[in-house]
Amino acid sequence: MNSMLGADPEELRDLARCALKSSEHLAKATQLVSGTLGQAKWLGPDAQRFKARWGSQLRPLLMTVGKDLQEVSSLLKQNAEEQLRASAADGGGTSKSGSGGPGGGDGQGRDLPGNPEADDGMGEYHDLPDHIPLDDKALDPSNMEQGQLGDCWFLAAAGAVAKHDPDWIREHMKQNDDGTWTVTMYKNGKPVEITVEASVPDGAVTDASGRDNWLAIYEKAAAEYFGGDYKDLDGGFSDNGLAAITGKDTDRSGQSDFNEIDRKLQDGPVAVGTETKPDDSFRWFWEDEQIDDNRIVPDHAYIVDSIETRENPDTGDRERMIHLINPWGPNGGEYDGEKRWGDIWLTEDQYKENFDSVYSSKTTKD
Amino acid sequence: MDSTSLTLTANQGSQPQFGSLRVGIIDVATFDGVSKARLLLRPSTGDNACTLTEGDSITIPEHGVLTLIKVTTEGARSATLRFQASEPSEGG
Repeated sequence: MNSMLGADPEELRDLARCALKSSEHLAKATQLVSGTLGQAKWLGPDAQRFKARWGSQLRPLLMTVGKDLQEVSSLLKQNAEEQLRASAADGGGTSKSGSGGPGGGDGQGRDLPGNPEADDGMGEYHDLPDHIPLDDKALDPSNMEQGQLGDCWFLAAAGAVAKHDPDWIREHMKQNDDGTWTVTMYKNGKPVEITVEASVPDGAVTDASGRDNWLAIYEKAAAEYFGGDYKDLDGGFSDNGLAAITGKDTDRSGQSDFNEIDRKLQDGPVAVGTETKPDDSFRWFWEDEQIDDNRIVPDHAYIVDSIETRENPDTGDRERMIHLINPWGPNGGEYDGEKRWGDIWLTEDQYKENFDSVYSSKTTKD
Repeated sequence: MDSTSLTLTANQGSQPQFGSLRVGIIDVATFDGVSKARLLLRPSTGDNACTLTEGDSITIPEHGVLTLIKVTTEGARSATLRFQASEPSEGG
């Protein structure tokens, strides 16, 4: 009889990644069906019945399963870290620098500083400058350029928090006497200190001028928080980023209308996510000659800056429009201001055609 | 002087950087056995979206040549890109 207790931490982490990816696939499949259903020319009582059942039962059920898988993923990661610590305490096993994750590290709630992975495909590591600005300009959410990772969900969450309450960011990161940085994040609403070395890979996020910034430190801390590896940030949902950064109650909902988004904006940071394109819709970019005037990246998260009544340049009419900031950042060159990718103004109809998720957190100003 | 080459794989929705050139990976897809990527080239002169088929290259003036090596659409969708930097011009 096998009396072995415990588990292989690497297998647990693989399983955690599998659960998280499955959750993402489920979310995308759900979005795909919603998008296809919304565009389908299907009328009559059968259509009404299915659409009602989809909206009231099936979609919520799939979203619940997706959230459960995320929670299982977090639990598995936590178990893996506990297993690593137990093995280290026994004098066995291996431990790598910077793999602490939430609650890990030195047993005092602090993570051990380090680089998430020596071979993470993120390029060479370089030292951060001695001074990382944390003034309002530095924390402006449009002052970022996403890097090599698919972590728009986290950057959109961080940018949304910085827009809502820049003091929160300033109060939750500090440079230590030895040069390392400590970022305070939250696990189940309780603070967790993540300490990272003052170095980042070349593929990390930067400010809009390509310089290392506060987000590069937050991104590195998040890599440790979410599993100890930069690739743990490749794909996710902004409500998880908001929860990790603010520790407040968060919400993930469907598309929502402008009134609902505006109400959430008054109450805290908000990010939105674009739809997965239905199977056939990718043909929009299939012909090289076709001009893409959409400027919206599918499967991508954006920071909600504001909803305002303004002149719509397409029609000349004044109407409510939403201003969204792409974590890809602005482009500093001379260019037609109406065709920028770094930020976009959309009417409510345009917004609803392209976005299907809203992520929000309660305010950090209480 | 030899020009420098860099190959990397990045997921849809990310924005890898080659020297001072940022490249947003807007979308990737495979249809009828043909794989393509929609990319946003972001030199300082302005954003420019383009579509490349696997094996295609595009020259970005004053930066270099970008080639779409491979598209992956199973699991996390990604593009493998190779960038060959332009040789620096002679001073004088």
